[in-house]
Amino acid sequence: MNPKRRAELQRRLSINAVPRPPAGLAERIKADIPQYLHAEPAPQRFRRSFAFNMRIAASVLLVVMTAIVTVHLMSPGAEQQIAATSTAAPRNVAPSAKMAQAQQAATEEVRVDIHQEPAVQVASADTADAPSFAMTPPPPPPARIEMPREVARIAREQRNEAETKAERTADAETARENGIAGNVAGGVAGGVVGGMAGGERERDAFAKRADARPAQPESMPPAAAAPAPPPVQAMQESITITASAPVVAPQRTAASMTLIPEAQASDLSFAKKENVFGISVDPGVFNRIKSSIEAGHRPAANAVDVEALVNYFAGAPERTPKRGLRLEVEASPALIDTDGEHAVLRFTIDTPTKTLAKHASTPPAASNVRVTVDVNRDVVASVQRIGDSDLIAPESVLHYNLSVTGLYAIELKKGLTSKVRVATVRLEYTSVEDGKKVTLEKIVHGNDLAKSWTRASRRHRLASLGALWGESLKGAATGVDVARRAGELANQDPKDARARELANAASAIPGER
Amino acid sequence: MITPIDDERKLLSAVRAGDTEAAEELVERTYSAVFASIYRLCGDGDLAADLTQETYQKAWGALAGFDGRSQLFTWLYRIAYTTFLNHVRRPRRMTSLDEPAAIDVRDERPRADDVLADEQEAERLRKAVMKLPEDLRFTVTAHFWGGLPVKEIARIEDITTVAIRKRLHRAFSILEGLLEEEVP
Repeated sequence: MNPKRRAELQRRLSINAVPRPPAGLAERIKADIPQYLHAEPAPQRFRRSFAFNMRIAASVLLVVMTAIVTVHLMSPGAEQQIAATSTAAPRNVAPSAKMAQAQQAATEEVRVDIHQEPAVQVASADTADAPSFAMTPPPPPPARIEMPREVARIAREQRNEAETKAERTADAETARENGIAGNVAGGVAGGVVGGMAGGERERDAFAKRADARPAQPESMPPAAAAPAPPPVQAMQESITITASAPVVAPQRTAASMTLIPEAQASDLSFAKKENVFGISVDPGVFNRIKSSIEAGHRPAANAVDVEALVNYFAGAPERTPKRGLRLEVEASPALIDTDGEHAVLRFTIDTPTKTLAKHASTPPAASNVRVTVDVNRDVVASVQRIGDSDLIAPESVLHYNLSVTGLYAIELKKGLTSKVRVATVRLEYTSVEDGKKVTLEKIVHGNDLAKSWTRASRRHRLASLGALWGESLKGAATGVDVARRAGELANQDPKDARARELANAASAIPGER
Repeated sequence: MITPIDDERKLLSAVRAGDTEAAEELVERTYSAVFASIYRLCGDGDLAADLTQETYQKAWGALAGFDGRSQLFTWLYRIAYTTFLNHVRRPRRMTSLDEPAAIDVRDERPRADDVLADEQEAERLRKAVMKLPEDLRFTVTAHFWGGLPVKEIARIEDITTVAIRKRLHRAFSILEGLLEEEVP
């Protein structure tokens, strides 16, 4: 290689000019420090790891117990096992006299006499004598149930009778599921001892009885964890429950159950907004216009929401910020009035993405969010936001998975120089994660407008094409070849569905080509 | 850009001990250089800012594994470079370069046309560098755009300085060919 050429190449590699880092970058990086440095005190770290381990243990326990219950319910010999359990249960679970005495001495005995009320029976008339358990209260965790042999025998006879009557219907399946849910919950609530040792046989019996049980009314919530219910004839008998745990309320009324949904935080709105900073971000706008076009008529001018179209076509970013908000500011010459004195300024704010469970609410990413756009009146003759209003309202909260774009039409004065400031866009917010106030600021200079529209980012071009298409549908802009330009964008990236949508929609309206 | 080694070691020890202020000081000292390196690689300010942030996120996680054999910035540059490569290996979208219709912006020094020409020239060079084989590309970018001395690059690449110089020589030959191909 010629040394002269080599030196020239080295020079070119070395002089590659670099802009200054954007304002706020250092703050963004610093905001990551506490999370990634793990600089928390040892006690906090211990507490966190302990809580984490406990959660893991509880999850494993829940899964194991669910599996055990399911296996028992599904096993074909469950019928015989129930019969055997019913007779063996008093013998197996009843404490010996010595144990009972010891327990009485060690713990304060709570004696509850449960008398079954007629209201508790939810069975229909033809199966009224079948055991009912849906409304019985959940057992106190480490409970032992004494059931006299005679009572058990009667129960078994009645159950057998009920089983021959009842067919396995879809309702019975529902009851079985409720039985599983109730028993798993009961097992967890009662702890390992109550759930595994005391509850296993009982759960088998409950699930079996659930198969024979008639359908519950729709308003009935899933059955709570229920102890083995006495048969109807045994209702007058007293059942002694010895428990060292607090005794639950003997009856839960339907009225108290209805309070549960009302206790949810329905007053907090986490729904996706259709208006952010006063800018319409209605995602359904394009489909409505498309439907109208497909139906063969031009959409009404007042039905075309240009701001929402801008946001629809600006879409989500290729890469969302990992943390904190991102402010994107870009300017380019305008597509219409190409006299060198008109430009388009765009700002887009993207929040980080968060994968959410189905029907989960979107959590907030930032609070006290404010955007200001300040133009230099020395070089800008007029500025107008494309849409209905020029105002940008502050937002108390911005949620995750959100992008909002504002587009401005700027008329420049003559004699614009490259280094002069044209506009400044500032984003201020408070980070929800660490409570820090963050200010991001981006400045548009004259040389930012020196590049052509085709060198602008894809997002910028699609947003401005969307705006022009909207304005042309309203009759405010004409002579713009939106379809062709959108078609070019779509051809450059066939995966870009929105560019193709815009190209197709724009070409479908006569006179808009 | 590159801080004195003793000072750097003290700073690193403090950061490893969980000193947040030391970590912030480390960011202040290095982030401009990391941003500049990434900007030269990608040619996009917003993207460079995001990748710079991502670089530091990775750096905090990998700090325990930093053995101090190389300088801190060299280590950061390596992370930044890998972060950039991971980004470009993801599917990307293209932008058109046709139909220039720029606003006439007057400037005394340099003229907008010159700025644009310089930008285009820089972009051509950047694209040519990106076409180099991986080992040559890293060496060229680390030396010219990351500002790393040959000795430092040799240390992190675990080869001799002579080998690095040979790489640079080969890279220049390839670059010359690539740039000549593009000239009509």
